[in-house]
Amino acid sequence: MKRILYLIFLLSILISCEKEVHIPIEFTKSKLVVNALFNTDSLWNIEISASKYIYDTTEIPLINNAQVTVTNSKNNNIVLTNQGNGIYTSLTEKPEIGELYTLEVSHNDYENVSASNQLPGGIAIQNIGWGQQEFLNGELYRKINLTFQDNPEKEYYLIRVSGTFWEKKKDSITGKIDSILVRHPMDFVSQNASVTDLNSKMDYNSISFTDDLFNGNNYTFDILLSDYYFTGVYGKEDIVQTIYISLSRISKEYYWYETSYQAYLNSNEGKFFSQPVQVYTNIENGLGIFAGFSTTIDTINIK
Amino acid sequence: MKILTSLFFTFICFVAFSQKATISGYVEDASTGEKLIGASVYDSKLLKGTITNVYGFFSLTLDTGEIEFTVSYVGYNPHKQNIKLNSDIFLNVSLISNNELEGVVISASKSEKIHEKTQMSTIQVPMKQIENLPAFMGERDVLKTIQLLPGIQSGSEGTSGLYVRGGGPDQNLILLDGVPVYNASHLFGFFSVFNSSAINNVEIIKGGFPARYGGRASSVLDIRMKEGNTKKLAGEASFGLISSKLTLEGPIIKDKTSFIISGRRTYVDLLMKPFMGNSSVKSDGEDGEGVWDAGYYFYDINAKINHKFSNNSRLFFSTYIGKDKAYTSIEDTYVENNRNYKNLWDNNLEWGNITTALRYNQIITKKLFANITATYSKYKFTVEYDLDNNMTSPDSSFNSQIGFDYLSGIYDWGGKIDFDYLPRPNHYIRFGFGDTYHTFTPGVNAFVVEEGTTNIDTTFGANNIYAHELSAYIEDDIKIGRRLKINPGIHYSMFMVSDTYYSSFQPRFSLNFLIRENFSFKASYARMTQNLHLLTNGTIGLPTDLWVPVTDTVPPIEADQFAIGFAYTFKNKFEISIEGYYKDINNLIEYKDGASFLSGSENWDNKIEIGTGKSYGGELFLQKKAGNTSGWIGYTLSWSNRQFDNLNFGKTFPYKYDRRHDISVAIVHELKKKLGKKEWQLDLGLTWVYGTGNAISLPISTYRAYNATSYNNGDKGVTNVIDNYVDRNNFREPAYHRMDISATFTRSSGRFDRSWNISIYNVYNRMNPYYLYFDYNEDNQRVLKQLSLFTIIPSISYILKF
Repeated sequence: MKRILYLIFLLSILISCEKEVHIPIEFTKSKLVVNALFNTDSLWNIEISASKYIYDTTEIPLINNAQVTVTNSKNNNIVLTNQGNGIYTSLTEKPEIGELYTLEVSHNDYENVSASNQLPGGIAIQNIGWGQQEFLNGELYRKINLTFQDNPEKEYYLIRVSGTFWEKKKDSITGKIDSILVRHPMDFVSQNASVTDLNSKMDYNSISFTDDLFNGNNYTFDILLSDYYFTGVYGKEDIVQTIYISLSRISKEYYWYETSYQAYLNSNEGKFFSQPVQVYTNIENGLGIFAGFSTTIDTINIK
Repeated sequence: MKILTSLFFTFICFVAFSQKATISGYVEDASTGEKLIGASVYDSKLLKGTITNVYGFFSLTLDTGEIEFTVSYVGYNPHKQNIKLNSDIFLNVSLISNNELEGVVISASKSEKIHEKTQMSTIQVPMKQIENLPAFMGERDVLKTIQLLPGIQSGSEGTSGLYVRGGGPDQNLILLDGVPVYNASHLFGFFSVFNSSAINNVEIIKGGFPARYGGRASSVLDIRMKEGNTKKLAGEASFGLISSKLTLEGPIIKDKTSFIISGRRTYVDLLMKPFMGNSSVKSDGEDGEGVWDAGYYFYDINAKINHKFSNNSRLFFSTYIGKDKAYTSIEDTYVENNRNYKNLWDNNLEWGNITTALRYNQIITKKLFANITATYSKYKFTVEYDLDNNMTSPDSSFNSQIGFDYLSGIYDWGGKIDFDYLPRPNHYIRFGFGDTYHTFTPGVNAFVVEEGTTNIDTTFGANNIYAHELSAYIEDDIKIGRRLKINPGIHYSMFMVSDTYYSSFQPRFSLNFLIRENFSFKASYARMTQNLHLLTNGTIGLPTDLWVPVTDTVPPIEADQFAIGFAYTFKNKFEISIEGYYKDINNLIEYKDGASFLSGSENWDNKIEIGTGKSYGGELFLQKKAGNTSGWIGYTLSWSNRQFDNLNFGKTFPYKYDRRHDISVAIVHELKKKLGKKEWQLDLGLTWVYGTGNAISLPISTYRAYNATSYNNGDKGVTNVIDNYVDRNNFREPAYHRMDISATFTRSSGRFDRSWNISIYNVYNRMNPYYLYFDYNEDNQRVLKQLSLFTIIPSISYILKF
């Protein structure tokens, strides 16, 4: 149906003309931007940058001289050290399940920012297996069923699918061309009722959803992968070798950030006619995201 | 008990001893027999009177004795007659149009003036003004003219949607001969479906709704088609740059049965034909040689037939059929390895309305008029996409077909009965009831795949939804003494869909108090309930806009509106009104952030947010309806906001069409001269509009997104940047203003009137904003750019009337 929009847009371009306009947008002072999604598997890794005025065309500044501290609920401080490129990491400390963390970032040139988030409990995939093949929109799909157990509390989930594919790469030392396995995100579709946002039911490589429709129950989620991943109609390099399915329990703030950010990307696609989306932030006095998640990954080998 | 008994006897005496008689009948145009709606009928001695209803019928009950019976209507010479009223009289009155009376300038003819009407926030636009105002691409358009009235705003450039007092285009009840029209747009809203040649009367109500109307939250646009000339065969043919029209009307049996039929069609597609042909793209979208064909057209037909059985009963049948179609196809044939290939890619987009009304009028008694109506309304939208591949060779053949169809629509069957009861001059009671049976088809997809012997046909999507909408109303226009008029009423509606039902009592009240002879104070309150929602992107009139009924989670829209104002008539020619209004709207829907209006209607109630709206403001309107120079000036000062818990972080934000200032000027000037038997006339038209720029969301800063979520939008390592929108609709586009002019030169000789019309749209070539976007200029600086749709557009058309 996007055709219609493009038709109208083309039509309007044909008879229209464009010019520069000046709408005064009040200059706003830069704010600190935090990008941190943390889980139990890795060390603390937080990116600090700064926002810039909309008409400013210089590079977005990465901030390397800020004081970045994470505090847990027992008031233990972890001071993160700068690794360049705006990245701050811990030496040995990893986030722990169920723990509430508070982030504080201070810098001489910017307003101090803070944020809190709790790392959600772990999640296990109970079962993974092939389902019936399905025809959708005239295209053949292969279905994977993913089963897991939900808690009685309100939970938020994120599923990502990726796969390994053979790619021809030139060996930089020998100059020989070798085939190597490379992992790429895979687009999928889902028919599950719990995925309320229809855009996410279309081809994407991640889906986030809540447990509103299956709270406290065992739940099977379907993942439909296009047949071309298995038959290689468009070329052998499209045939997937191993499928990686990651299931994450994410915090509420992660969910809001993820869904609003995906909506933001979608609205950019059809931007001529849709309202722009405000991306969620949980950073006080700043922008960005500080949120935790727990992940489990299962694989399917295609041979 | 004694009091009651004496009251009863007083009443009996009153009835027995005050002798009364009723004059009733119809008022029509003398030359065409067309009924005149809203004409004043009164005794000019006692100044007691009434007005004709939408069928031109009146009933006036007065004390017996001598009366000076007067009938008047704007643009017509008044009819005066001394009558000795001893018993009931039936009288048909024919008024002669001023156009046919040489040298007559409309003078002190007393028609019902704005300060005398109980109803407020209502504007009637004479068709003659609509005909002589400048027209976009030469197409006279009722909706475009309505947009020039205060309190009514246009949406995006060129579109015909109406935004009435802060309401959306879905909240307008658009009635064509009493039948709701669901999609009033041709060509994505650049033209409306109403063919002005077939229209008799246009009335828009913005507030203080009489109880007889219901079903939409913000306005009622009541359009009445002509009934057809009952005296002689007449017609009109017009030829414009993009379309032509033909209208024929006349008697089938003189003074008994008449008809009107009017059709128009655009011919952009025919003009494009010579440019179609070889294409550099094949049917599969790859480079190669193909033959392509593409085009767009719309047509519409209005037809009406009416028959008078007797003075007391009439039958009408009216219909509208309209369709828009856009199509593209690419065909390629080639020979490869001794095999013949023939491929065809075909893409069609079609939408259209059909409305039909069968109506029966019966004067039951001199004081009671009944109208029974059966209606049918249909709106359907389809997309077809087909790809055929054929291969034939001496030893084998192959054929495959892939087809995709998407259709959505709404179908209504309705029946209603309305009564007008006029017991005496100080009461005008209207009551009635009706039922509409809706069938919603909110999006069905069908796929057909045929390959050799394999045949897959899948049809899926939302199932049909059926609903009943019952309504009943009663209202009375009451005169209390010489100064006060009130119109209390109640509208009841019940909507039943699946297991859900909603019922509502909607109180309505209007008041008019005559402060001085020509100056009145008005006040009104109205509650309106709307049981249908429109899923729309709200920017342009897309054919994909989808009507859906309320559900158990999405309740009906409810609007409460209060208005007060003053109306003043001076020099008997000018009417001026000033009104203030306050409107609360509940249960408005908006798409969730980022939800797409393109991805079908399945579970649409999951994709929307429910919120409220508030609008308030003031309107000033100065109108001159007749004379050599006529027209109006309107000014609106308004505020319109929305609040949704899950949009804009729950904060109130301005509605996209929140327009602080809105000014419109529409002037028509007429020059006439007669030389022997020939007569010429020059009509000059001018419109000018100014409006505060639309509200728009603009980011104030940019920042880095979390990289891990960049899966979607590119390879690893690409940093996605987020534009930071702090508030929805926080900025204003540049102001919109535009002037259009037109000149119509008419020569009348014998039976024919020949006219040339030249219109210029956007005379001073103002670049009005259609769409704003960020881009980079030559110096690599980020700048805001504006796309303007229509620059100066001249057009010409030729009209022949006979």
